Amino acid sequence: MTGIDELRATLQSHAPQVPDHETQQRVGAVHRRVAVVRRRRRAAAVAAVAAVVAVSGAVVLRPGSGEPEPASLVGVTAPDTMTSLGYTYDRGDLVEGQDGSVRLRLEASDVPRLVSWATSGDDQVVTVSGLGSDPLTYSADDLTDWVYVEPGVSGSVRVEAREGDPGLAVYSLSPSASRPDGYTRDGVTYREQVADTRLLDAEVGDLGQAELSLDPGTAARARLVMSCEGAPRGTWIRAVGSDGPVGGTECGGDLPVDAAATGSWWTLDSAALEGSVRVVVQTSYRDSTPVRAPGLRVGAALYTDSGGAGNRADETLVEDGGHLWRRVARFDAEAGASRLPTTAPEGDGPFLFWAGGDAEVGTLAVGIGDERVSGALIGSGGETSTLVDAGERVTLTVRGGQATADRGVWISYYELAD
Amino acid sequence: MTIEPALADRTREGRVRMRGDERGGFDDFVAARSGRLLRTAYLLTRDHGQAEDLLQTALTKAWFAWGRIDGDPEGYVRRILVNTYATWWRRKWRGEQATDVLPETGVPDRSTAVAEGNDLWHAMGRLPRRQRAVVVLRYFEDLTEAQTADVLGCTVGTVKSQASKALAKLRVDPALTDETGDRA
Repeated sequence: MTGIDELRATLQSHAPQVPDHETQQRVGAVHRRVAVVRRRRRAAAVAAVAAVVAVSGAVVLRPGSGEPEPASLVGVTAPDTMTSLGYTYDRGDLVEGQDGSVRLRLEASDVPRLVSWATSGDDQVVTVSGLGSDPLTYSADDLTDWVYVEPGVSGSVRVEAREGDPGLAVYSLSPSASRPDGYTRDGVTYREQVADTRLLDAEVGDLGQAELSLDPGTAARARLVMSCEGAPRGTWIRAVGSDGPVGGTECGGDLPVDAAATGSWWTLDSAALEGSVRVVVQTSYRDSTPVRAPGLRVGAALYTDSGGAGNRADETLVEDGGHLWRRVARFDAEAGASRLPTTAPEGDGPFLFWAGGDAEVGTLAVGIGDERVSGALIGSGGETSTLVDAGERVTLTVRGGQATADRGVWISYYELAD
Repeated sequence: MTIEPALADRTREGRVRMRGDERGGFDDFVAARSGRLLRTAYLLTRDHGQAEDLLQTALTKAWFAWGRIDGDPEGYVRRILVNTYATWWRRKWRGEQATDVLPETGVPDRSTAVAEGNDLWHAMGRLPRRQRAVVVLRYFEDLTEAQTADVLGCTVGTVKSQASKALAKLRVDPALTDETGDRA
């Protein structure tokens, strides 16, 4: 960079010009948002009154009697434990609703949780909302599906039943149950199987250890996941293969419990896998000196990689929200086309989708129903995903750029596979 | 297009004083000024969809405070916008993780084939959110250090240090140096 003038010029050249007609549309969009906020505020005021009533009406059952006994939730037996991707979760609070709905406020926890539900009626269709997600319709059997709550996340979950009263059950990751097959050390697990990939090697270092070495065996391609905690700000975790550096990111946060399911991964080809793969936490992006920090902990693993184009459009099995998902539909825009209208599959939803595209510059705008929502930076290889209801219209549009001639935008829909 | 007749009287300082009536002039303000605010939002988020979402979020918050704004409404909305961006945590979307620093990806680096201006643009994308906000406010909005501090709700010293760190990071960004970066 040569100076401030160049910085100013770059900012000016990338600032988009907005046609007048879009500003008029924005006026309407803002008013619709205002109306939504007003409705929510009115609803919250009503709920506050209802909560006073509910103190005497709602049934809140808490564990702690010390005596194992079958727990009933709106007439449905709540199991002592639930299992998600091989992890065991212990039953906690049970809350029964009334008048067709139930709401539960969750404070932040250090461990992941599953919030599951049941209904007193025969019809098990419910609408679940909260924790930053729009309302979604679920038709799973009682206490077989859940909302996955990551450690540190707080918020409310609300369930409305189409018939009868719903109840909510909170399950927390068991501190005592055995972990899934794979590699586990100090509470950090790299599972033997993650979607359709298999563990090749993994290591969690000692406290203060800044370097690890992974053995890819005879693999010709592999995926690398790595993370670290307890390092000073600005330090980087970097991987070096047999032919040089292969990737890195800033060191931060905590080592996750399910370490292979969180964060980014890097693909290594045969040239990088001729020997061991070295993972090091270094002083900064530029300074490769290993970090000395007593609280540093680093973990990394190599998994098999089946190849393909390297994006999720090619993956038939993915994991999300503590579930395994199987691809049931895939749509690709015609070569070079920058718009792809699709409809989510019909059936028992919600469905997970992953969407992305290939363009030198631009972003992928995602529209769900009549709502235009955020998308991904496809110019940098971005992909995005969320859950949608069965039969929902989802439209992808490249904005501020042009899809490449040989491959445009794509979307894959997934159904529950566990 | 001008908003002044519908909005308010201009004070001697050139600032706009809002009329005391209910959201009078809000629509005109959005029509007249939101284009520039969108540009700011885009420079912060680098994503057209997110920029529009961020701007509409800020405008919606401003709507509820519209009758209480005493002074320049554009500055008021910009303050909401920048601070919303700085603390934005988009929980709904699973494919993108809100982090201060963008992780490197396995995608081959295309920057060698594009102009240096694009390299700088990409390098700016690797700045932490607060530093990027300072860069946009100082060098796109042309705000003074004191005005930038006012928008961000921090001290002038913090603005200076954030700007200094941002420029230092840009100067050593691998995309802007001659050294060969990681293969990634």
